[in-house]
Amino acid sequence: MRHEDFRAHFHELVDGGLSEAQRRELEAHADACSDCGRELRALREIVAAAQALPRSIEPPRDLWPGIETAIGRAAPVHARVQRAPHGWRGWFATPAVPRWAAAGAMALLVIAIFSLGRDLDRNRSAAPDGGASNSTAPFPAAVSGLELQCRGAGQLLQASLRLPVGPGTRAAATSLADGLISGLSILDRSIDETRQALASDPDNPALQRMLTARYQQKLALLHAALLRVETT
Amino acid sequence: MVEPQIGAGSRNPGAPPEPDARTIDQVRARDAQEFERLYRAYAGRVYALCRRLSGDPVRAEDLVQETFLRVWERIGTFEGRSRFSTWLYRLAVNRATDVLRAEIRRSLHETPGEPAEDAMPVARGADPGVRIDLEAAIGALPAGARFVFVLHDVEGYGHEEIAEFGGFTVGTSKSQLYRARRLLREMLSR
Amino acid sequence: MKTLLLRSLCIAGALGFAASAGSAKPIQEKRPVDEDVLVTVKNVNGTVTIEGWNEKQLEVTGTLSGDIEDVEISGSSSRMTIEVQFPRHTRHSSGEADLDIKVPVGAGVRVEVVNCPISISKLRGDLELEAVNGDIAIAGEPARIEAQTVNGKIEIDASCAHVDAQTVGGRIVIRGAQGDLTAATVGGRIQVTGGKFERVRLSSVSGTIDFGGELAGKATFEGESHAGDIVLHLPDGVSADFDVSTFSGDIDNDFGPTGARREYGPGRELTFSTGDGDARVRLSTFSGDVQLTKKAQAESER
Repeated sequence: MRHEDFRAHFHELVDGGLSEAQRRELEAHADACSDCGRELRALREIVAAAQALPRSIEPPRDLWPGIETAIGRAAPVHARVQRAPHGWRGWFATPAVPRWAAAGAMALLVIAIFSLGRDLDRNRSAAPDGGASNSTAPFPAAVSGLELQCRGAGQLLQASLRLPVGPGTRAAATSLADGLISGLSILDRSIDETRQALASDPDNPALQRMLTARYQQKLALLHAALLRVETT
Repeated sequence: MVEPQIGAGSRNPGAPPEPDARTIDQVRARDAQEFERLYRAYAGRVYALCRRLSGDPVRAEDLVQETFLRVWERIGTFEGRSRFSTWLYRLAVNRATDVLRAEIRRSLHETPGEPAEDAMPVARGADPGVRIDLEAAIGALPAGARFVFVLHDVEGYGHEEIAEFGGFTVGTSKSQLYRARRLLREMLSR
Repeated sequence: MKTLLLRSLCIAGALGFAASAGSAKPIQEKRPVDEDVLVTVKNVNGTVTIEGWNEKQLEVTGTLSGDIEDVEISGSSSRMTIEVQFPRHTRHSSGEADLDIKVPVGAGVRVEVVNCPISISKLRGDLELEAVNGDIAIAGEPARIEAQTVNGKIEIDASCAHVDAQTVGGRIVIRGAQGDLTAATVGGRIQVTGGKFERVRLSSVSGTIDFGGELAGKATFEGESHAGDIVLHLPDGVSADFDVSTFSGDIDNDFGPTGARREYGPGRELTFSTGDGDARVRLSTFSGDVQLTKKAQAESER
């Protein structure tokens, strides 16, 4: 066997994958040839030293605080994955529902999160009776579900926006945040006004439809931003 | 269903115990305290992996944080069919690969056999008799060779998996491994 | 599924190591491609300008500045990807990539950018454009347009039969389109002039909707706004069924009745028909006013 042949295959000798006959031929050459034998020993030493390296290295500083900040110090909450209530799908027939609403809601599983944590939505839409999420009449049942989804999506987005990732995401996050905050405050104002109107005219189907559409737009906006942040 | 509480075999002496289903559920339920415990159990392993792959202790810190944030985001998709540690290390390798992709690709185009300009051995200590150690030598490897060497010889992944992580062929994975070993041999024999 | 790689070339590798921050690096790359190639462009900071031409070539020119590592051009003659490589290890990249791209007129184009204005012209294929912080301007005759931007505005000056434009705060201006149009915004305003449409859906929350196009025979038109006004400029002889409702806005109608107040609560509704009632127009606002105005004869024949 020539040295070049040996050197061509001695990695596989160390890693396995040769036939019994090939192995014996290579080992025989290594025994007979002092140069090749030395190379084989050196290779085995490197591989053995690599395998013996410590598998764990303590980071030079505690990285937990950065992670904790990014996940938002959420108080213990219970997450439940829930499909959209059946009635809601009917609302897609509403005229002029933005494409984002349909695509966003269908593309992501709907997550209902009950939480005491912070909310991306700083202008929380307050129901006229002061309660945050009153799921009884006069609001359509679908609306309280949407409201909760908005809160959940807002939390996820808030956490995502704080991810310490590359320059693209950082740039995106800042402009996204600005655009979102202004878009969300417009939507929240419209939600407030519509809810107030519904409070004095609870059986108005046009108002009910409008309120649902506003929540869908809000959720779609949050979902679209989430997708954008995740894929940037 | 309780995960078997074993160290993962002879290649992993002293590996952290696998979290049980209850712990995973709590993290899914956004329990930050449980998540911190999980972090503390695995941070060293993930840091070692990221530091060796990136060759840079500062980037490694970012990679560790990004990996655990992805765990937090995606724990909902972890179904317990594989071990948690397997899933976690894959997230870490994938994140590191994303970050290093351009460098790895550049280094794959260099002619094999010619040490890349950036494969300069770390300066020796004052005593010329002191050899540079293996960690430093790994850090001095070109990105592609280092990527494969760390995953294959240090972490124990096979060439198929490494090729999948890196987006290249099994043949490339093997040739990068052999290149890494050759360069290490040169650096360590000085 | 792996596409056959013709070549994957890192430009910084070809030119040598990356220039130091502050200097601009020119790009000049060309690839042979099919006339219906699908081109994907990804950038973070800078500009993206894409123009159609009659060659079966993809040409990328422009400059990279700051700490941009390279532009990666990869793929096959039927699918090409142009991706600007931003350094990942710094938090704030100072770099910008200004890309001037020429593709065959029949190419399909997909653009994903963060802080880049996008400008497209002379293309006939499908366009999918997404920006976070960038204006989108489209001219030509694309077959289909899907454009989304968060902070930017969208201006389409194109005879395209399938348009879907979405913004959060920026305005949407559409000229000369036709067929199927969807435009949605939260805070921007929507303005449509010219063109003849079969299906229109316009949605806004606080911005005005101003429509001055024409409705084809059995067209459907849906306009919805919360606080923004909806203004339709329709030709005198328009033939349509109208269904207009507003909660607290006013309805101003050049075509006849001004609408009845709801009997037992606030709100106004207006239902009427003109001509043979071929098209269907449904408008709904919360507090925005609705104005149905007659286009002057000369205007509608422009």
